[in-house]
Amino acid sequence: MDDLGVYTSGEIHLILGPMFAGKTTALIRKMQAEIQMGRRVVLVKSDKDTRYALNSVVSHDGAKMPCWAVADLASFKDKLGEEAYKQLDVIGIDEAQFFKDLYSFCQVAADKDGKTVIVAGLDGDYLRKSFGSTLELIPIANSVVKLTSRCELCGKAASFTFRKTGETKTEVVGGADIYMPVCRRHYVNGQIVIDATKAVLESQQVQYDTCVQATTTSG
Amino acid sequence: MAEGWCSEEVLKGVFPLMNGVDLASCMCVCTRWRDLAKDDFFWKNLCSRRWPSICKTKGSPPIGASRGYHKLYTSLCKPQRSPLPAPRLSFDDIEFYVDIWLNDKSVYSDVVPGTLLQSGIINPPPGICDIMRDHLRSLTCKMTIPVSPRFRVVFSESIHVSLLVGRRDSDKVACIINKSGFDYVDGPAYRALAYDYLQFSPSYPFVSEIRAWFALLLVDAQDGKMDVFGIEVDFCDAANSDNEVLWLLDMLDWK
Repeated sequence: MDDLGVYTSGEIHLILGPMFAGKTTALIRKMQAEIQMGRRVVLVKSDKDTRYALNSVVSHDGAKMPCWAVADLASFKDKLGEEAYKQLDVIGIDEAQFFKDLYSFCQVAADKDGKTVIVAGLDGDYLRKSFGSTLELIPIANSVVKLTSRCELCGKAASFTFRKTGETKTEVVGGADIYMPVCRRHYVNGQIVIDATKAVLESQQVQYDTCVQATTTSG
Repeated sequence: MAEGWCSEEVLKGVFPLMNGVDLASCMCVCTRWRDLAKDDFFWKNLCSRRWPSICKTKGSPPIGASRGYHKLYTSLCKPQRSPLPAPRLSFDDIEFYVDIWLNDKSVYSDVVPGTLLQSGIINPPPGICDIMRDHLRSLTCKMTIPVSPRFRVVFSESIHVSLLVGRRDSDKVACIINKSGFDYVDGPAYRALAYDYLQFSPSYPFVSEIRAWFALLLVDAQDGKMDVFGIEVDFCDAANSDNEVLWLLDMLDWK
């Protein structure tokens, strides 16, 4: 509602894709376009992502945009204050997969408060499973864009993120040293290699345990 | 018996009951069937079943039907996408202006003819990694050129690229990449990537969000650092063939 009690329509726009697909750049471009249209904007990102400066979001061309780094979106609203929040037209959310309260915040912001919310984040984790609650926004979003990166192994369009390390936790914040974008063929091939390696290592562990048991019993 | 079954009267009774695909198949049986099935009466029947409104124009045949209902039906029902027409632009007409900066100091500046970029790196140099060799040999549309002399890059420093394209046929220039940084270095693939969003002519108001990609192709140098032996330009968000690339370039905001 605006000051006259007239309902102002909000919007939700989703920018999805694997690592290194340019989601942040696309978000900044949209935010800059909104600024040029004279709208009041604010950018929010998770304080979990400490790869770059905490108080700014950096795009691929080095363009910086000041932002709020918060643990959850409810605390952002509290920090900003009711009056300042009312003045806002557009809210940009980067690294959205890290926010647990993403769905509830976006729904209220768009449906009740009439804000335009532009959300950028990973759609899937390194196992190609839904990451965070970004995908839950699809039914209430006005638009959904899935960006592609470039497959590190063949140069074709890459839609998936592959983890190079053995860490199995979903939330491992990192860059090119830990993750790489890959196409479907190389994702599947990579998983086959990983699964085969695991199987070999596990069978060797079984053999090792059996040997140890045999040695201790004979001793 | 067979002759009676295939008589003209029988066929004329059966053809109106068929759908377009079956009627078209009947035209392939023999010359006699083709001549019979080509009769516009059957195709008008099909058109009026599929688009009843098209046959409601008084007097003159509906727009499009002047060429015959057979033509009208087949042209509207074609399932496959018609191939891209020949582009108005050719690689002979264009040249690319490439500038690369390291900490705002120019390390590479060249004018590359379109035909040279199109022909690509024919003989990959020795010492490049297997992934890179496979990449350069693959058959997909690729625009690459060798860099001579090679230059060194340090990715801890700021590296930017600008890419303009000029056309000789109209003496105009368009911007493809406007000083973008190489923010992603592909370790295993020995590539550093930059991109920018293309600016299209106002004549194409609904075309947007298409990126141009620029890659530095890398090789290990003697002292453990990396040299650039080639550069690559592509538009894989939207264009995967020479024709598609030329159409895309033609749609840019030429100044």
